[in-house]
Amino acid sequence: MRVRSDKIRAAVVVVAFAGTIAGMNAAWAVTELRASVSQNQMTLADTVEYRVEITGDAAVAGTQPQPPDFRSAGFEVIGGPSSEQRISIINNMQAAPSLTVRWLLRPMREGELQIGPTRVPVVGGQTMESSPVQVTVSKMPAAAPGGGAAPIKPGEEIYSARTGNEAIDRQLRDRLFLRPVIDKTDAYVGEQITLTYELCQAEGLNISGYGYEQLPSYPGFMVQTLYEPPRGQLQFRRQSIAGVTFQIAPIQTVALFANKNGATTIPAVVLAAEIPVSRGARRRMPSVFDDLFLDDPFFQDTVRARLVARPIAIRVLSLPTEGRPADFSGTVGDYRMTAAFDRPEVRQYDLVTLKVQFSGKGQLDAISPPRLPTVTGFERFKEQSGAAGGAKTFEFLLRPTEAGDVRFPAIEYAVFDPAHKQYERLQTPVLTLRVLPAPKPEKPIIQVFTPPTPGPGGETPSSVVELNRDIEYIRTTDFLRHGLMAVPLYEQPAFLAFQLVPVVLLGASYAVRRRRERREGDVAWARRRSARSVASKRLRGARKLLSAPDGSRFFDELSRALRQFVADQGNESAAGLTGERIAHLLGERGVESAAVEEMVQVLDLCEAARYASARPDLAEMRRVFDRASELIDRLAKELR
Amino acid sequence: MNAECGEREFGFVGALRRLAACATLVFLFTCSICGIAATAPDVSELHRRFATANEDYQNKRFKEALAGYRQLVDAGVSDPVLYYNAGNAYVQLGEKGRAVMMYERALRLAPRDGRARRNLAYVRPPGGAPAPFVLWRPFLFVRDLFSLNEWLLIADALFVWIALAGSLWMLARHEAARAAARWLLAVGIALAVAVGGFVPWRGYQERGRSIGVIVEKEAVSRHGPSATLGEHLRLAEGTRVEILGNEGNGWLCVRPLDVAPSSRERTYVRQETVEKI
Repeated sequence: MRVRSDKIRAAVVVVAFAGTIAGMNAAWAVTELRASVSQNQMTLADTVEYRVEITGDAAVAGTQPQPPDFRSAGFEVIGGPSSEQRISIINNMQAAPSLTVRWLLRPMREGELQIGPTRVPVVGGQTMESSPVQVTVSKMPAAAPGGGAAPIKPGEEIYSARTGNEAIDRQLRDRLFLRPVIDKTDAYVGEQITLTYELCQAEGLNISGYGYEQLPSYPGFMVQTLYEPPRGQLQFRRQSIAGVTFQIAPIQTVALFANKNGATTIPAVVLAAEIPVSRGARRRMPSVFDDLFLDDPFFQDTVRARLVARPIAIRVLSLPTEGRPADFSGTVGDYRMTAAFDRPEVRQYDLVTLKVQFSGKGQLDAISPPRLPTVTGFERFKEQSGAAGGAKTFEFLLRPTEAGDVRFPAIEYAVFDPAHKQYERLQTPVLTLRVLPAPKPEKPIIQVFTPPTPGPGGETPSSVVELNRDIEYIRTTDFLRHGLMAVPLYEQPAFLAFQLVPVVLLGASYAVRRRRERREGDVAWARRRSARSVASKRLRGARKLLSAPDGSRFFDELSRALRQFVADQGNESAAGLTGERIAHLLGERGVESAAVEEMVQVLDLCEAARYASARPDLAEMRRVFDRASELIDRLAKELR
Repeated sequence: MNAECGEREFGFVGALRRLAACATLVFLFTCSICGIAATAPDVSELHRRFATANEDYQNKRFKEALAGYRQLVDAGVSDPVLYYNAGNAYVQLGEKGRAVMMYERALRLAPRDGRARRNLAYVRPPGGAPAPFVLWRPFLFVRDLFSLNEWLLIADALFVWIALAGSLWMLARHEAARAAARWLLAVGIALAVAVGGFVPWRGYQERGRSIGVIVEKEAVSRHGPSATLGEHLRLAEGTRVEILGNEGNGWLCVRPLDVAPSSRERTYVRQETVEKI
């Protein structure tokens, strides 16, 4: 009885719930459809959110709005659709449910663009349409002719952060942005341009995280990264600008070196930053009592802001041809060059290192080694280079061959100085090296040579230089000892074919083992398998006895061959096999009666001949032998 | 069990079949040998040319000697002694880059040739390549101890060893023999695993990468495949480079090998400055 009352109670609850839902649906009969965009004015660099909000019963009926053709409207879909369903309960009364579907769009052309209506099917097979939405897309903002320099210049063009929430965007205007700081926008090919992207946030805003949405890219430039925040931790500095205190942190500093002349643009960089805001701030219409950016984490929520650094136009000038030295190798920058021997005094035929160092501002990696002047009394052996600590050093290993005070002429090197816009010739002073007389060594000179700069781990790898020795002499023997053509073995068919041998060997061994195991485990099978060969052996023995003087031995062997064959086929002992038993065994195995009769006849013949007083003639014996052979062959085929 | 059951007797037809199979194999093998022999050049003629080139070298007629060696190389003869002598001739003519190329070829075929190693060290440009990490050196030593063909033969011998040990293990009736076979099999597999890593490694070194040598006195490399682009590196004659690609306009994309690690960057050189090993 209790179970039954529970069922009734459950049924009542279900019916009541269904009635409630039905009543609610009746109340939501009116469906509203509204389409909007996050901003109606934008540039080609911006993105816009297209929202469709459905209110009413269609919002809970699994309805999917049919969006307009964004591409024909001039937009590219870069995100979405993402939908959000909401059912609000206000004062214990359920309000009409709503469904919001969003797309993130990027304009593909400028002008007055119209996003067509979105359609939603409603009850009764009808379709609702939203009103079209107008969006004005302007050109990509022109790159500022001059790079901004910290502190922010009045009038410097900056793009404030965008979140898609108008209220928050208003609060963030001119308070959170990403700006490029570049030292020059006109540069020569190979000249260093220093560019820093700085994240600026007004005090009170504390972004909780950031990541690149569009990485910095520098087409047409060789890039050398000078600074990146260690482990992504921003290092802020405080700076007051127009009465507002900002926290400014560099997120990347690079040195750029243009590869080719002409106008080029460094594309915009887009950063996504997480900003903690109060929970009420995400609502469409925040209360005037809401403080957007509360410090209390309990009341905080996070919004994602998009920070765009403007693209930068760069004009790259080609190096002037006028006054270009003949030995100019393309080095551009503000450099100094020094040279020195590693010691003032050296013994004749010992090794000495001449160090030539470049320091200054420019692309150190691109500095090519200087050409040493031709000096008599020096042999040149080795050259190494390395760049570290803002300097590049070339080391030349020399061996003085003449004693005395040797003057090493000045080393000259042509560079282009972009600051003075002219070619300059760097020059070292004339060096003097005292070479003490010493006999020429007979043994090879071996000297450990250490590169000028340590490796990344601080190690200083060394190499050994052997100087005064000659090559080993030619060989006149052992020619073609390795064969005519040292073709790789894997290209030779015979080698490839040989690879089958071990495989076949293993396979055959496995087969033999299986066969042996079966033979040892199944005697009847083993006897049947070997019956033919055993009979053949006995037949060969009988053939040998054809010429024996005693014919009975021949017939005895022939009879044994036949009986043994039948006994092996039937897994019986050959000793007790009678003619009837043989006929029975062969009949069991399905042998034709003619063959059985033949078997019995041949056996009878053998028996008769064995005990005959006279020896049968040879022709008769051969006939019987042939009959027995044929019979065994025939039976072997039938019993296979 | 019947005593006669254990007897094995080969039937006449079976014997004929086996004989035919063996005859076919022998025939095919003989044909392949004959085919190889038919395509091979006259060995005595090659020896005569080699001796003539050696005479020229000994009489300090290096150009003629080199021409003789090159003739043999161009005829398809691939021999470490020939490459070694050609390298020497190049050294005498002052072409160290091509000498490096010849010594490298010789060492690929005969990696334990001390003379070729010494001569290569003599002509190779002083490079900034640091010595490999100390724990890495034994592996490099073992890898370079044998040529690719030798490594393949070693691997093949181990393969046969494993097959024989496996067969013995499967077929042996006595426990002692089976235990010995198991032991041989385990040793063979362990050796095969050890060798198995070196074969592809050596194969990659010899055949997997395209290595060339700078054959000009000082090749200027550029940042891109054009003479108008900035100068990148100056590569000494004899510097080995890994050829990464052919740009199709007479420029090769290479990575220098015998230079300091900081200079082992992708760079571009003119095609005629590099000769492939």
